[in-house]
Amino acid sequence: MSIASSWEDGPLGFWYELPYQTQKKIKNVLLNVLLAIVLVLILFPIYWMIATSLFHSNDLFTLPMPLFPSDPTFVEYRAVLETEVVQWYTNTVLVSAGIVLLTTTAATLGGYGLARLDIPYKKTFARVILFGYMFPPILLSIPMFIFWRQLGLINSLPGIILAQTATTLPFSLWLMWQFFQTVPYSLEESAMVGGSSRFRAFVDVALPMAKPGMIAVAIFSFAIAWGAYTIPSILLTDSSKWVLTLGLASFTEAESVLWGQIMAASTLFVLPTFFFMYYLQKYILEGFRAGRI
Amino acid sequence: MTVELTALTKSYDIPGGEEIAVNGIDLEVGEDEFVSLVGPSGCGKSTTLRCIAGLETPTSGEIRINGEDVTDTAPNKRGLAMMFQDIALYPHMTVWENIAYPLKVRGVSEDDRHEEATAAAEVMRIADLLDKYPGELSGGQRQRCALARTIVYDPKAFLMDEPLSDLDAKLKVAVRKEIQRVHDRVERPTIYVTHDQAEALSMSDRVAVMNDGELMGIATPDEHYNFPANKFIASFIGNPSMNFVTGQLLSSSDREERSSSGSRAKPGDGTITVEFHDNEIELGATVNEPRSETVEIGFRPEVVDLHADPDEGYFEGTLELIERIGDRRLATIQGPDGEIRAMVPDSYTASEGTQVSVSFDERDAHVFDDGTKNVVGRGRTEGAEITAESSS
Repeated sequence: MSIASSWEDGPLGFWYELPYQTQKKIKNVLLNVLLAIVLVLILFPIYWMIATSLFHSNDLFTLPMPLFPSDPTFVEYRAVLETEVVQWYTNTVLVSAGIVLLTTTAATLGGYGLARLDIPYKKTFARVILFGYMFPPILLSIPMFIFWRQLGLINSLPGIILAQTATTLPFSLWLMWQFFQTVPYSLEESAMVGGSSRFRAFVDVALPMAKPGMIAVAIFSFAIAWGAYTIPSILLTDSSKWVLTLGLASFTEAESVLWGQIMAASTLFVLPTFFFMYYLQKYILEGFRAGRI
Repeated sequence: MTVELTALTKSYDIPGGEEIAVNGIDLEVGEDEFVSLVGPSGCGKSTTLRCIAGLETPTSGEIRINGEDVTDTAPNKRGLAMMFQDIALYPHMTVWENIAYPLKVRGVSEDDRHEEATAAAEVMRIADLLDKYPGELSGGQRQRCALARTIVYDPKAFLMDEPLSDLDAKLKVAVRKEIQRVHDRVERPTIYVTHDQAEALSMSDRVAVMNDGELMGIATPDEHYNFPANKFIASFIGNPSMNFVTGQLLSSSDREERSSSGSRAKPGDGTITVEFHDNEIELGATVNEPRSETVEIGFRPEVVDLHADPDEGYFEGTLELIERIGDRRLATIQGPDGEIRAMVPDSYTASEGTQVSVSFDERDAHVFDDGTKNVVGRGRTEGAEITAESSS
């Protein structure tokens, strides 16, 4: 007796009597239902965030709470913009841009070096780098605080850029190392024999080929930089230097929790990430594919 | 323009010692000469070429281009052109950008670049493809594009690293012609690396045969074919490859004269007599002195005759296989010393499994010393005579 036929005799036997096309349709519907449940789990909080930011503050506490704001208002946004949010927003953009630039540049140069130059024990080194990514930020931030204080980099944006890059760089470097290994070396060799210097061959030939990898690194480091909380919370004490994550947390530290403002600020906080990811997501997949993850 | 290698050696450090990839190669490629480096895979031919290009640094030895020592010069300062096995067109550039790239790094203005690239593309008959990307081209078009990129500037020499090995047989012949056309046109030394002896024989002025990092011999294709300097060249050049039987050296007539005079004898001066399978044949002696009593007698499948009568041939064997090669048939015979290959006419009728007797034309036989592997005697001694490179 084969296994299949014993299943056919069991309580689920009716399934095997259905035509194959019907089986496929049912499977498809079940999968879609599962997908829908997961989507609701992910998207509903986001919807709730946006909806809450549009309610009048007195509607927020009525029971049962309406699902849709019947009379949307931007009063919370106005209130938020009157705080230091604009400053924090600018800081976040500056810090993120700095981290993305620094990470992408360093990871590209480093990855190229690891892939192409004859460095003793470079393979071991490249693999150990990944270990740096395993440190929780809180473990790094206390020693960093001590260092940065000595260097006078507390409460400065360059300081936070440097510190946060320490967390984004290991994985990025590893990714670029993997990526450059997929770019055939003969392309650069051909450029070099053809008359270009090694650096010129790197810029003209290797870099364009490594673009998907660089974009993946940019997205990855942006995601970390934009949402960074632990390291900024220790290195940035002055509220004028805060990034948005710290600002958001400050709304709850007041006597009452300003749900409307938190949600309005959160919405503003999430929007750039959404657009950034939406346009660049196809590259991140390309990048990860090359990295064989 | 010339390319000259002197005692070029390249070794790599490997765990537990070093591996010698190229061992003391001397090679001179003359003005507008086409030289092939040919040998089995791993013989060091590509490494030699990469040393010339500057992509590998030789462990010792000297590379001269036009008499100028370039051993420590960066690849981009050597002024060479190289074609790679994987073609190495830049996928993110159009065909014209690819062709013009060497000019771009030389700081040529865009207008001139465009003009020169178009001219090079016209030579290679790809002028209508200039705006396409390499990914949109066929295999042969890519090769032509890569060739155009090498002729667009005026290189001192051309280096080619198995550029045809990824093409199908028909395209190979076509691109081969293009390469020769380019070579005739630019009149620059060309060094061509291949593992395919047919390719090397058909294109080259001279062929350098390499094995195990050593240069086994360099000569014209005809010389290699008719007067192989040693057993390796004899077995490597020619397809189907040469047959060998083991024999004994009976006498070498001028052995004493030679050792007493101390000077090198001229070819044809003496004779050597060898015995194999109860046959005795006398052949002309070469400049190489026999060192051991055991010799190997080599003869090409083209000069083998098969007989049904056992008395007619030198030895007997079982006919194992007959296969068609072009207008003739290749017979494989299991002889006393292993496999013997024979080219027989289309009309040959003996069936597989029968006993046949093997004979060959003595004039086309070669005798190789079993110790040194160098040629010590051959049926024909007229014509060019090649000195073995590694006479030790």
